[in-house]
Amino acid sequence: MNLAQSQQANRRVAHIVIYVFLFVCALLVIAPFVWMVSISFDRMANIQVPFPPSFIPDLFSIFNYELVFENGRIFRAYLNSGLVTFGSVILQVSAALLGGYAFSKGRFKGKKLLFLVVLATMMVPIEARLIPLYSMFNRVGLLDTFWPVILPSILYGLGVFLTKQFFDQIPDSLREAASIDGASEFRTFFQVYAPLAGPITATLIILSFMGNWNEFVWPLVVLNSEQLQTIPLFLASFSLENGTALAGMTMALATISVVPIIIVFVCLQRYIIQSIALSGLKE
Amino acid sequence: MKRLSTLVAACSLVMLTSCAPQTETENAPSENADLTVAMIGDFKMQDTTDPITGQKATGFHAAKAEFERLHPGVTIEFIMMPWSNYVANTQAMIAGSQADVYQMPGVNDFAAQGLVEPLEPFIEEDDDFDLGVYNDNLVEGWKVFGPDDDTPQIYSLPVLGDGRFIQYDKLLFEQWGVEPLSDYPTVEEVIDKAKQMTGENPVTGEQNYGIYFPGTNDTALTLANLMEGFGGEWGTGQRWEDIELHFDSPEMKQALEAMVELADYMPKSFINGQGNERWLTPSNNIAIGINQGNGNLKTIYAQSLQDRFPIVQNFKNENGVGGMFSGSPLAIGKTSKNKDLAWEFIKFSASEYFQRFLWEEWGSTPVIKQATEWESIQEMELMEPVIEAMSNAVTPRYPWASSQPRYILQAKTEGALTGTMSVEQALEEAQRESMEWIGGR
Repeated sequence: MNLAQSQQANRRVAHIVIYVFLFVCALLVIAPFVWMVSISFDRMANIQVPFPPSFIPDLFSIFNYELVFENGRIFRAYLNSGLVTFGSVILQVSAALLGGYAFSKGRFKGKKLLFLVVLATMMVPIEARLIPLYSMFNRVGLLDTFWPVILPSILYGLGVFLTKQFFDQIPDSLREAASIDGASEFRTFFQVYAPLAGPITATLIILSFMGNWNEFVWPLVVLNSEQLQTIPLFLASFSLENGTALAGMTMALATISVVPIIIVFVCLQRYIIQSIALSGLKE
Repeated sequence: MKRLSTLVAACSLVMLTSCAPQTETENAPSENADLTVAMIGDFKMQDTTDPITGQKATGFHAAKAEFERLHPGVTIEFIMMPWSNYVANTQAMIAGSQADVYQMPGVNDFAAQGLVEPLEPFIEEDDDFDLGVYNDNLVEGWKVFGPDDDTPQIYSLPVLGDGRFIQYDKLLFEQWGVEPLSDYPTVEEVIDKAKQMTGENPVTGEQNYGIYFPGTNDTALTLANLMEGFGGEWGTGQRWEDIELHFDSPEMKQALEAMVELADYMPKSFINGQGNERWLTPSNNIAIGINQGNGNLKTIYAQSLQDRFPIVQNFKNENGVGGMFSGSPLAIGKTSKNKDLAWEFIKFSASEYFQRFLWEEWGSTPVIKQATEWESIQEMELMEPVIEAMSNAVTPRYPWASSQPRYILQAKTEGALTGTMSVEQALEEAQRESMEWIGGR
């Protein structure tokens, strides 16, 4: 075996090791998800959580799904989550695009300081904002409605940051050309830059959708009525009340609750790759 | 593009209308209701399927219809709240006068605050009502002190029964060649048999554990029951100002030492509430479960294992009494505007209709004597010792069972079981800290 062949063999072994390692990692990541689905199809799981853990249901059945869909409460929860998520995504993404454009292309006093303030909002967890936000919405009489869940979404530091980075990659010359043609700042944004922002918009939609669909703490505080429960609150009403006692039913509900996220991700994932690729452009 | 805009506009419109404040919810009482009843548990207004047995359960709409049929012109609403955080929820509901009748396991504290109505005047004035309908010990068990009482009074009447008991796996006993537990076992008997059945099963060869109790939640109550088995008492008094705890008594020390010994015969993870994953299943590997509850029955019958897991009584003192009295009673809120109608509901709750409804549709243990004659009770043999357990629990209920002393005792017991403190130190600290808490109320 000559040197070249030896190096090629070494590379092949290294590749195999890497692939085996990645495969094991992938299995570890996906195992809880598979187990969740397995338990959801196990008729006996409401009596006892399968022990030791098994990926094959003791008694395969769609009983748990029938329970979850019984009385149609889950459809109401789905509708509620859909409304809250739709409203929040529209607000968040719009605000992030406008904010990102302003910080990227705008020229105004205190821009850097203001941008730092926007970034700082990413460091304040919801737990720290809980009481002031609650007091504010209580004062205006909007508790136990969807407004307190949707409106705070407008503050989206990460979105503004990502959008600014994206717009920084797009040449200023486009804006200058539009300006020479007599376009206003809004028109420049909507007709020139916004159409180019598809990938970052898709990325923001995915991130925002996942964040808002799974939001738990804040909706738990402001939504008291059972009819206003979103999917995470509906799920928690099963799992908190019953612990692991009704594992089959809880896992069926958990499986159903992640379906929209998977659909959104599958539909929009190629835009994420595009946005990463575009971020490599130079003026 | 136009289509997309229309779709977005339509979605936005739906969203805006849905964001408006809700005027009525499933769980909120209607303002027009003449009577509102707050219940705790998995009860639902609509028909539903039991997730364990798979049987259809008729929702509370049936009970509503029956009560309204018996009282023409009356509208009754039910509020269903979960068990999690039920004490705080009840407190908030009473403060907001949201219901007339409350399911109230913590009636002790609420009566002491003067938040519930004494029921004896209603009982005395009502010729149609007889306390004798209830199972023995239940009325006595829920007697508590109001703010001005010298002796315990009736502020609530039982609606859901509950019993604590010891259960064992008959198959494992047979495989090990050990005599079944006696109907009223002593602590020594249980320890001895648990010890015998810990190790490699002589028939199957798998690891067996002699006994189980979870190291979380109810450990303090398990300890109290063991202490009663040694002839001790938790203390004296019912009103906070009169209560004298005996958490550091010799019997309590004996009980905690027994628990520490039993830890050797249990799965190591019992302290985290784990290790009993196979308990009450065909692959069970634990011989005895102490301080068990009613919820086990549904699981056992759903798997047709009723012949394998017999029930015997909790540890009793020399008077044949032992174990925490539990279950739920109904009480009338002091702020109720319709107390006479609320009393009518409490009477309704003791009727054969409502007790059968709770038992046959929702699996709640009945509290009336007549229940023993029902076919649905008689065909479940395990119900007999459960009903018996309700009649020989300690009454009145431990007044500290839903308050801080329980959690102090719990923490110290866990300390002793994990070896971070000695038995003596754990109990002395539990006694001192609990009495300090009572003194500071």
